[in-house]
Amino acid sequence: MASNNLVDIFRVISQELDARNDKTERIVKLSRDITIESKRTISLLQRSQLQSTAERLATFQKAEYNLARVRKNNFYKLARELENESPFYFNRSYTFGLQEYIEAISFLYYLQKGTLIAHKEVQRSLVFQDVGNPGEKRPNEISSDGKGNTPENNNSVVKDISEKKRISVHVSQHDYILGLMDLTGELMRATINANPVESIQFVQDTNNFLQLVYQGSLALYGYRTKELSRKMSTLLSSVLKIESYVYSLKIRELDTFGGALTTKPIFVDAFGDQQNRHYNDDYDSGTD
Amino acid sequence: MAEQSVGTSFAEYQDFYNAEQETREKIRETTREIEKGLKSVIGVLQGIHQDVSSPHLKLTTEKCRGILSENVKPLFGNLNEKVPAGEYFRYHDNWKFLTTKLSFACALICYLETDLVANRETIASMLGLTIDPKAANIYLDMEDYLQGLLQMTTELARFSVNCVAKGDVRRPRKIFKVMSDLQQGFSELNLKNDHLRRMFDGLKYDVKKVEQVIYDITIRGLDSPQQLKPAEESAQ
Repeated sequence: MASNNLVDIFRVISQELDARNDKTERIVKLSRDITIESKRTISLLQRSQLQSTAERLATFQKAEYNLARVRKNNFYKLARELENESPFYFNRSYTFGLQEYIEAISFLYYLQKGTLIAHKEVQRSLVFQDVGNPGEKRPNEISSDGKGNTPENNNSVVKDISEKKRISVHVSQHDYILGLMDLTGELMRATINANPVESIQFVQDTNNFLQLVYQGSLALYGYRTKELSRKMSTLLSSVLKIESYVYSLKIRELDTFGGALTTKPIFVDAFGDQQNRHYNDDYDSGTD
Repeated sequence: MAEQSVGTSFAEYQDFYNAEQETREKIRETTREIEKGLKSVIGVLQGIHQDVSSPHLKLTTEKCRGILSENVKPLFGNLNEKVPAGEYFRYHDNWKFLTTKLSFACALICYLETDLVANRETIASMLGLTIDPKAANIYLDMEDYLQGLLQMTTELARFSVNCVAKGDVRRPRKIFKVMSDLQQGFSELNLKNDHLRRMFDGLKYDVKKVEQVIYDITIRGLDSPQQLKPAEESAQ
């Protein structure tokens, strides 16, 4: 019953342990790449606040492209690594990359649609068709290699998965809610950066949105994890910042015109730049 | 629109969280029971330090095996039903302590019976577990097994001291053999800088302790054939 051969025991274990550790390393590396790309996309979107409508649409397209590339290059490989593994074992190795991605995709979603991306939509974006070639091959290059019988022009990874094998990166509700907390910080910055005259609607909407998120997060009181608690106190400070910003805009509006900001475009020409600068300095301490 | 989407997201999270807590609570009901079995096994095993004679050791291991098969094995079957398939690591922290400590106990029992280190399959079967993650919802993870082995070396170092104190001067050499084999085995693993690694770093102190015991015996010639009286030949 007990094996005499310790060498045998440790040989088997050594292989298994190495495989597990190597996989963890690869996953951490992928996660780091995802973080970098997502952060870049977020900065890109932050800059869109000062752009004209046309420029902004181009920026959104660029951001969409970036995120699609992250999915194709990094998340697809991650999904392959996680295939037949417990996502819960490796979760701590990729959760930071995933949270950053959720932050980026939800930021873009909010700027485009003014609302929150649902958990299932985030999850849906990370489902891929397995093309059966580890590592190197990208999901939409399959048509060129003889292995998969995939139809030509299969550009969208998510589309047309029908009877093919699916692989995915599991997005847990924890990851999603933590990513959502990060989103609020970005929205606070975006609001402060926005032109208070042209984007007054955006400023007010986002103020409301952040208040809603804070209100929602209060319901989680009592079952916060350590990480969530930390992010929730950041959320509160973002909410307070944005509230006092909206307040000061209102005061200034009343001081200057005694009326609605949006109906007085002259304001932009006369004071716009200087005033903006002033508020940026005051409130936007978080920018890099 | 925003109001609705935010509301939905938080409601979903709450449902998810509550469901997770519920599963955890069910798991805890069973792990608390397993803990009782574990405590009595550990308690019985402590007896080896008082009486090192072979008949007593045999009695001890038999008693432990009885507790394991009656009070622990069925409970793991029970636990297996409560853990959702494929979610071992989601709830692992609820029983990691138990599987580690029970691995230790089983490894020690096997060692006392055979003077050998038991492999993972053997220990898993003593607990009614498998080692194949695909065969069951709960199994004996490699890291828990390794930690159990390292806990055993600490216990064996203490045991070697007590063997001599109770008159068995032969056993420490056997213990030393198995401990240096284990040390050799562990040193071939590429350990990460984690808990297991730190436990392995402690192994050398256990080995040193046994070396000291052997030194004390040897320098006094206590284990030379002339010195050994028949009565002291307790180990087989």
